[in-house]
Amino acid sequence: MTLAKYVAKRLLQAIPTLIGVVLFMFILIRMLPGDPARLIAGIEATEEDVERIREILGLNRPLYVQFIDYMKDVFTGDLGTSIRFGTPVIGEIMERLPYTIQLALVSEFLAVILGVPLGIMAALRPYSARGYLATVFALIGSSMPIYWMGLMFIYLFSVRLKWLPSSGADSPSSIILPALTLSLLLMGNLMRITKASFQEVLGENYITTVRAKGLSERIVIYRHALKNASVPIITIMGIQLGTLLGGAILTETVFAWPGLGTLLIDAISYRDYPLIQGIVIVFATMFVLINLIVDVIYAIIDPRVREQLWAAEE
Amino acid sequence: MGGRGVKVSTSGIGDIQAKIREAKRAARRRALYKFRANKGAVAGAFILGFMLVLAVLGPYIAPEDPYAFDLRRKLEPPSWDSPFGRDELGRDILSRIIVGARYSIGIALASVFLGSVVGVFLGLVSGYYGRVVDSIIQRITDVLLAFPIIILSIALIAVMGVGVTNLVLAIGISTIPVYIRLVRGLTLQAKSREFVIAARAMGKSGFYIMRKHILPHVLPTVIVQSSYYLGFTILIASGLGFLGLGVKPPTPEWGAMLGSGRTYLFSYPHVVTFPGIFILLTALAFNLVGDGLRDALDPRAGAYRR
Repeated sequence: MTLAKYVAKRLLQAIPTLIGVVLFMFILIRMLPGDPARLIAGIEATEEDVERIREILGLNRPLYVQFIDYMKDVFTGDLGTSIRFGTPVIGEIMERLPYTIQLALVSEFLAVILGVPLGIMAALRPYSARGYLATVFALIGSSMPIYWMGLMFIYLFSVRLKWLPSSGADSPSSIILPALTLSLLLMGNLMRITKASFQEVLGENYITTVRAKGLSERIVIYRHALKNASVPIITIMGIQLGTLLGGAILTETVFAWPGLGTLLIDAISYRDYPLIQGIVIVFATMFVLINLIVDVIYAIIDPRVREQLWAAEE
Repeated sequence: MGGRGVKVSTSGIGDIQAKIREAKRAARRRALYKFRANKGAVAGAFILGFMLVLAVLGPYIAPEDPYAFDLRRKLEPPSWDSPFGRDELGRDILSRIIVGARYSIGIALASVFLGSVVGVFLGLVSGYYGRVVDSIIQRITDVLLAFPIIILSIALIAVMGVGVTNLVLAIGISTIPVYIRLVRGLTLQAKSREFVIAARAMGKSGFYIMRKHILPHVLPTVIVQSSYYLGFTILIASGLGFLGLGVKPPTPEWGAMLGSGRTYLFSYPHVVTFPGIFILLTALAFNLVGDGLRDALDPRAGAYRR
């Protein structure tokens, strides 16, 4: 099986999951107690308002017809109309999505450029102070309420030192604090995994061979060891992109970053169910696609994994 | 001849059972010893013990009524009288944190309990019976796993509304799929082992085998996963509280305290500093205990997070 075929197969497998995601959200929204149209319209709404919303949501048709129609719409990129804005949901999402992606990528970048070298340092001297530091840092990283850390950063860097803006996305420096906050969610784990996989690789025979050839330690580490230690590191990066999506909701709220997360929280406070439904579906789709991409990258970089994966598929 | 034969073999079984009990006791002692040798885990257990005391005794040991407000004293910084200061309504923050422990920790405990019980049951059934049951459960699991855990919880809360019960339900449901996957895998492993094959040959029912033979086999991994999940769900629950999607005000849940206090961050940072430290400490304690339990019970288990 070629790589292209493998990718195609994984894409096909993702489709039932995505249909399931849409079905799940469809059922969830219909589980709202009472008449959804009345609920969405609010207590003070007139009978016409309620009727209008029922029309918008297509609630006057049989359930399975509603679902098939909704499914058709979703797969053609129509996620319905926002009750609050009266505009297409997909438009609202597309306006905010770049901010969330930008935040996630910058955070991942920060986590990698800080976490990987620190992990390597810790692996080279596992029983020194900095070796333990990596372990402690990883532990605290996975126990940290990042929204609280974000607030503490705002107090230090914006209120006290006045170095960086505390909220919004008006200047290029606005992204620094939110990205730093979100990157903490990943950095600890990244350090821990880097340290562990480096320690393992450094004990292998081929590293001893390269060292015996008299190559400099820098080449040994960055050319030979890093290449072989990279598989678990890339895996954890992929797994954590999902964590990032979740963490983005909290981080965006702390810093009033105009991404999908703040849009979702606003949508909930306005009971804008079509918008909530759309955003959650987009988040889940991104999550499924990220996992798929990680699997594919995995297959590209490690021939052993490639063989295993393909064997498992057949 | 036949009668004597049976007699001899039953006493033999009695011996074996005694030996099994002895082996189990030894394994427990070994696990306890390993756990106690891990300094981090012991420290974690101490912090947890302290937090549990707060959770149980909260209202009896809190110096003040956590709901009593006094607007003349609002946003007072820490002092001897109120060591953590006062919040935007003049309520004593220390008292609110002490009483809040039962909400923050209780919600995490209840949701992980709910998630693990349902998830373990479905995982056992899925792995043991296979076929159609397995396919149906696994397709549902696929869908639930397609959501990052906090987004699934938010979606559920958005529909069910806020409140302690709904929060527990939402987070509990979100943790179910990971337990299903974990337990299903272990059940499939156990199914091909001699102790299960023997029990089946003896004509024991599926539920009996699952309860008596497979459940003990999967339990150590489930316990390790649960202790990590407790650390994680306390962050999720307080995160939802922070977003205003947790408990109803004025309940002193730690995340909600952060959420309502953040407006005053610029001039009165003490309002958000202390609840955050308690969330961090509790999550840290669960993770430390989790590491200790993993080393003691199931060294191969990894923290499965989403």
